[in-house]
Amino acid sequence: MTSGANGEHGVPVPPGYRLVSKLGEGGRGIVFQAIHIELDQPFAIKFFRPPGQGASTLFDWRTQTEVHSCCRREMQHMQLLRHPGIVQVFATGQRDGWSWLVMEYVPGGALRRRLRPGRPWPLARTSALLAQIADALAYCHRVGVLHLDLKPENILLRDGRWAKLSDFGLSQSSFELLDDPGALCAQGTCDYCAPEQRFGLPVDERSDVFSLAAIAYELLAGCVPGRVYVPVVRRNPTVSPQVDAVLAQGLARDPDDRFGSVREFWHFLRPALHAPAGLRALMSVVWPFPKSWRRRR
Amino acid sequence: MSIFQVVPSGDQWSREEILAALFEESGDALFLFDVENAQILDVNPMAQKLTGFCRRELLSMTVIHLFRPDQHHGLERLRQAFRRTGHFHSQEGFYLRHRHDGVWVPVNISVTRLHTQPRVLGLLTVRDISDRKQAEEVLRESEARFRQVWECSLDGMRLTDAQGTIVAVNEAFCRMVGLNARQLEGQLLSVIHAPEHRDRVLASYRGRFAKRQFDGLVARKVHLWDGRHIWVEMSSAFLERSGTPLLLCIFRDVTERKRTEECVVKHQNELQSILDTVGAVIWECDPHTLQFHYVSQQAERMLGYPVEAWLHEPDFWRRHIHEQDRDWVVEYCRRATEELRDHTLEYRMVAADGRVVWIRDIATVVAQSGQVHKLRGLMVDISEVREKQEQLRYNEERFRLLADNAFDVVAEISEDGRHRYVSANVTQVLGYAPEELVGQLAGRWVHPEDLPRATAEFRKDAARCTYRYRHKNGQWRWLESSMRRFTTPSGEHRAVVITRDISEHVRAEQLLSTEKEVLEAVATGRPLGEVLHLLCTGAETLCSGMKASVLLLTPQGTLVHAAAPSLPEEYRRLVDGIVIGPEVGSCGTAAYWGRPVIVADTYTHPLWKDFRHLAQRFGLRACWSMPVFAVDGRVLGTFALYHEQVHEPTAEEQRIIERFGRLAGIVIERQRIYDKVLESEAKYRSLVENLEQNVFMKDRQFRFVAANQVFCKSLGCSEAEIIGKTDFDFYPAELATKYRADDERVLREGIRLEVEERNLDRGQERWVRVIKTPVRNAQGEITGLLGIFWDVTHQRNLEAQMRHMQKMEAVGQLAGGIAHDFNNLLTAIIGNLELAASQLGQAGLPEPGPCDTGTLVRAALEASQRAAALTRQLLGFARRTPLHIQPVVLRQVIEDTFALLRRTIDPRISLEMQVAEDVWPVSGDAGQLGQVLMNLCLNARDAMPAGGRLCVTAENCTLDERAAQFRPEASAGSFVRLQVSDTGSGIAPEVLPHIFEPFFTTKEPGKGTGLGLAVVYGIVRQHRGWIECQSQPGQGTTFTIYLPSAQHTTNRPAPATKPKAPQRGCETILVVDDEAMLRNLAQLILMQLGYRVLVAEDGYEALEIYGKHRDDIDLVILDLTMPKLSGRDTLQKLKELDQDARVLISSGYSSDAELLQTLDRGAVVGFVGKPYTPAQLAQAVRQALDGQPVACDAIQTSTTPEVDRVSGV
Repeated sequence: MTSGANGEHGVPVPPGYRLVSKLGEGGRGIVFQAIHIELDQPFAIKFFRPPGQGASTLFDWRTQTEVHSCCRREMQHMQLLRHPGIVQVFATGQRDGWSWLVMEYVPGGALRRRLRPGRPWPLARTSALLAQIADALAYCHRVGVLHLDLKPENILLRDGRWAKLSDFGLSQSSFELLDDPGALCAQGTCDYCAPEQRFGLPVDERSDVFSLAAIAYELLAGCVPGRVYVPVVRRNPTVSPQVDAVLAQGLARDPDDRFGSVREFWHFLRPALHAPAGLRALMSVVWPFPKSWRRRR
Repeated sequence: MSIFQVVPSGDQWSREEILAALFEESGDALFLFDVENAQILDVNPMAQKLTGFCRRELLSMTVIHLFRPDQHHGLERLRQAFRRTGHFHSQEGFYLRHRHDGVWVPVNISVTRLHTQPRVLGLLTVRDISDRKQAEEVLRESEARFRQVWECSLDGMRLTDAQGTIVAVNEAFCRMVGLNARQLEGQLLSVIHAPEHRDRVLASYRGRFAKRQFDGLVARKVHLWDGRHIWVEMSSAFLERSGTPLLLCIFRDVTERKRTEECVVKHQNELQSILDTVGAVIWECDPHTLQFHYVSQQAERMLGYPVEAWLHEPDFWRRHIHEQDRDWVVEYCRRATEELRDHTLEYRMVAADGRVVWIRDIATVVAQSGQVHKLRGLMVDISEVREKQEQLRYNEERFRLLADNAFDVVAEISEDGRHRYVSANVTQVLGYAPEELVGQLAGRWVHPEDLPRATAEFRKDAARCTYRYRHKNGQWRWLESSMRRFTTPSGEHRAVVITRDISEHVRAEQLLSTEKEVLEAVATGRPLGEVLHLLCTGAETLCSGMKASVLLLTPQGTLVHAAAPSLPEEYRRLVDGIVIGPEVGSCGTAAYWGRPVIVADTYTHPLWKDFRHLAQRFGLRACWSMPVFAVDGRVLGTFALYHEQVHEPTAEEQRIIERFGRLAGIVIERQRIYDKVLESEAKYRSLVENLEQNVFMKDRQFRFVAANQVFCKSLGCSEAEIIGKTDFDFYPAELATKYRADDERVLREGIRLEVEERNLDRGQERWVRVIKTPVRNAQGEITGLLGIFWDVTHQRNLEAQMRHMQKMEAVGQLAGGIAHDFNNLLTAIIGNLELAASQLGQAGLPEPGPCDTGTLVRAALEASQRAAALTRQLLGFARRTPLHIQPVVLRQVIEDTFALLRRTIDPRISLEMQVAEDVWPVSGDAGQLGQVLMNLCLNARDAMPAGGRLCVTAENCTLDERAAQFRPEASAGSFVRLQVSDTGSGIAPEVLPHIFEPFFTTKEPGKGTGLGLAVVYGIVRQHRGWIECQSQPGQGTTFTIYLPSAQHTTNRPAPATKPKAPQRGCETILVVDDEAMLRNLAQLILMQLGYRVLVAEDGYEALEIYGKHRDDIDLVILDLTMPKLSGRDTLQKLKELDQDARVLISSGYSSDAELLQTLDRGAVVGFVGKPYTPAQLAQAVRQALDGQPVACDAIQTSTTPEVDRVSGV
């Protein structure tokens, strides 16, 4: 595919790249896998639709202008961020009203693909993954960027192990927040979104803490948390009661009741994950044994 | 149902989840508080959003603190009330505190008491109504503004509903109509109008209201209730108040303005109408530029240019002056203006449509203090006056020119009947000079016969009259005059007369009417003599004093009178029959040379030298003759005019004689053509009517236009009934459609169509052969079609039978060929077997058993003989079996057959025989006929497995030629009809055509040979008879055989031939046969009988051997069919070689036996048919050698030809 000519879906082909296949499509844009012709390396290119070109579906509540601002925000924020746990942006471009981000290509897909309802992850793997996400998120907060759309769909897993945060389309700069508290509109994915974010109240790091806690809950319990905290132990007996205490605080409806930062959250969650499970947990561990044990005999 | 019932009763988490969701997602701000101290216990996100405080901050506050301090006491009251009543519903007027100082959010609150333990909680629901409040505020302001406008406006305002009831009025309105608001509000709007207008106004208002249709700003007159009328301008707008549509009307009193306007307009109109009605253009212009300042409307009407053009086009006046007048007019104007002189001048201007308009321009110089200020004036259109003057002059001139140069003479006659004026052209018309006529009486030279009539006519005021008038040269001229009386300005009564010479016209009319009369007579088919008589009379009328005659030229070159009404009878008789020639009077010469001959004086003219005595005797002094030509230039006769005086024809007469000559030509030729057509018509009609074929003609619309009698008869109608109708009227739709399609094709493609098709003859279906061909007119256009058709049903039947016969012949040929070869083979087999058997017999073997050689040979011999019998049957079918022809009595044959049958046939079948006593004998072979009968009876038996009746009849019948036509095999003559009928199963129609074919059988395999009927057919045909078969499945079958009778011969039983012992001999015999097998067999047989045998393979060898041993050879056995030299040629050569040669013919073909008759019988002494047995051969040889007449087993020589007849193939 030569540069300049418009490829599939009418997207322009960034110079020097060759579009290979479509990775995904959303309200804001289309993501293609592309090959840099000279480097012969794969990249992911995210195209943002030109303002006014109606591509948003009926179910997308954002207006076109919002989409455009999302795009601009994502481009600005992602260019700021350099972290192994965050998808790196290499270049940006614009043509025919389309804008694009040339990003690191992460083979392996999103965390969502590895979650099965009612099937919790093993504790060790959960711990390793959450550590990476928490680290990356803490880095963002340090730099002054709130992700605000943290969810399994936006966590990419390289080789199934290395987590990378992506999709900073809703991300907010801390400075922006100060300037214009009303800029944040009710956006985000309900299940992982902090209540204050949903109701248009002021957001801060604690909103991302909520999302992170929700992801942790899902990894451990095999389902997303409700408004009323149901202990993980009830769903996954291998988890220690301490974990419930930490997650309940992380998922508090009032940000004031939550941990103040991701770092703090992780500080309490990590030991809790490694704490011994309760009696019920022991039972559930022992139960499978007799059969195999008998067989061994 | 409680919302908690949607989750399992024991699941506390889910209940809590629902509760939490309701609390959190509520669109209202919710505050949960302690009823006792109003302390806030929990808030939802909306509460945080509304107040701007975060939850923690809110939890440290009381409910009371949320509201504006000036409402605290109210809230306190609320709290107290809540304690008592438990609920406090939706109440407005509260303002919620916001984080930012000074911002108060208007809210609607409601409080609910929650029945919780241990302490009672309250739930405060707060709804933000700031948006609504803001809107109300805006509304209130606008309301206030509107009210101010309403009250202070100078314009009257009125608010009315759909019915026209006044809802509100303002002060100005009240002033305008002179009533106060109390009197108006609640009343119908028509209350302000004068009573007589009220209904109309109200109806109009309601109608418009319903359609929401009110004009914009319109001034209208209102007749008020108190008699005043005012002018108002009204504008309106629709409003809506609590769902009721209202109309706001704003009125402005414009009465004063209207009055002023009316006044001004009135004055302007008056002035303008005055200016416009003046027939002149009033103008004002600048004296220097001559540019108009003002022109009245008349300007536009006068020249057609718009007033604007007059006013704004620079130099308009100068440019539109006619170019011939322009220079002097402008110059004159300028000078007069300079001299401050008023001036009037007449000139031409060019109008917009190009008209030239004469203008009288009266200009006044308006001066101020000695200076020209402006020019003012009047322009009057004087074109009409000018034109009239011109016209008058022109008319005078024109009249004179007209009168003098017209063909018609114009004269003016005074009351006393004398000419007062005669136009100059009278000289050309009547020869008189005008001055000769002026003063003379007008009727002086009028023909005396016409004078009274003319005088009477001319007494009238206006008249038209035709009369004769004497030319100055004495000729009478036909004149036509029209007269009109008039009165001169001096009061004198006069008449103007316009006269035209119509002599030529009158004569031409007479000529035409004569021609018309003649042609009409021709057209109505009057006899030639009568028409020519009419023609002559006409010519005599035209040329007074002349006698006309028409002579016809006969093919012999003589002339005979056809018409000569005025010539003496005797003259006519004398002239009739004169032979035309180069100098034979006028007519004879004219007919001879084919050109007109004008003889002015017959007494002296050389052409008349032979007829002068006739001319003198009958006083015919002049004779002009005109040859009468046919279209192709042939001379048909002459047309002649005689005069009693010496007379040279005038040009007029010359023309008449030519025309009548031509007319006579038309008449005669037409008559001749008519006669020919009639003759031809009669000829063709008789031809068509006498045709045996059906003949008809149709037009392009497929209607019959002609039909001959045969066709009429076939349709069963008369010709008149047929003509004008179509096929659809006579034939069923299916046939008619087909015919129509053919007709269309013929008409469309112009081709000749020849087809065979079905047709009906008086309702009977038949096959006809049809030829349809287009009929064309002289221009080659197809005008219709001609159809001829004839019945071919019979022909078709014959053809089918013929085909069948030919097939049978072909099959016969084939079968015969095969059978012949078989025959040869069988001859050899049988012969050899017999020899073998006889040798075995001679050997006298002691013990004959089932397996000894003798038995085997005999069995083989038997089988071979059966094969030979079968072959003979085949040959019988192929008609190659030689017949013993003799008179046969059929009764005997039938009886013999029945005798055989009775023994073998099923007793349930009854046999009947009906043979007339006098049945003629037939000439035939009794054995073969028995075979025929037997085969037929056996067939009948097989057809009646359950019994029935088998009947054989024989009777005489004589067929004439006509009856014989119905079968191709049949011929006329006397026959015996032999019928074999049964009551059996019958023969299926599809099988019927095949029954006589050999090897065709419907019997089971092994039951029949398929040769039975084939043999019957062959034998019957060989007897020169024929066989027919009628059969109906289930009804039985009848075979009818016709056999030629032998009534001239008497019954002579055939001599019985008994087998004799082989007759031996010792003579020398030459056997000539190309087939080695037969040759050897013959040799063997003959040698055993003691003969000496020589053999030859072909004719040449035979001749060679005969040449060598001519003295030894006593007999030659000769095969007739041989290669190289045929038997016939060999016979011929043998005879040449030896006059006394004796030859025995041997052949498998019975036809060869017939051939024998044509040969020289001298040499031939016998015939032996193949295959022969040794005994047969021995007998034939012996008889031949013994010199007896030829009487072999196979042929009966006789002197009676009937008996000695062998039918051929």
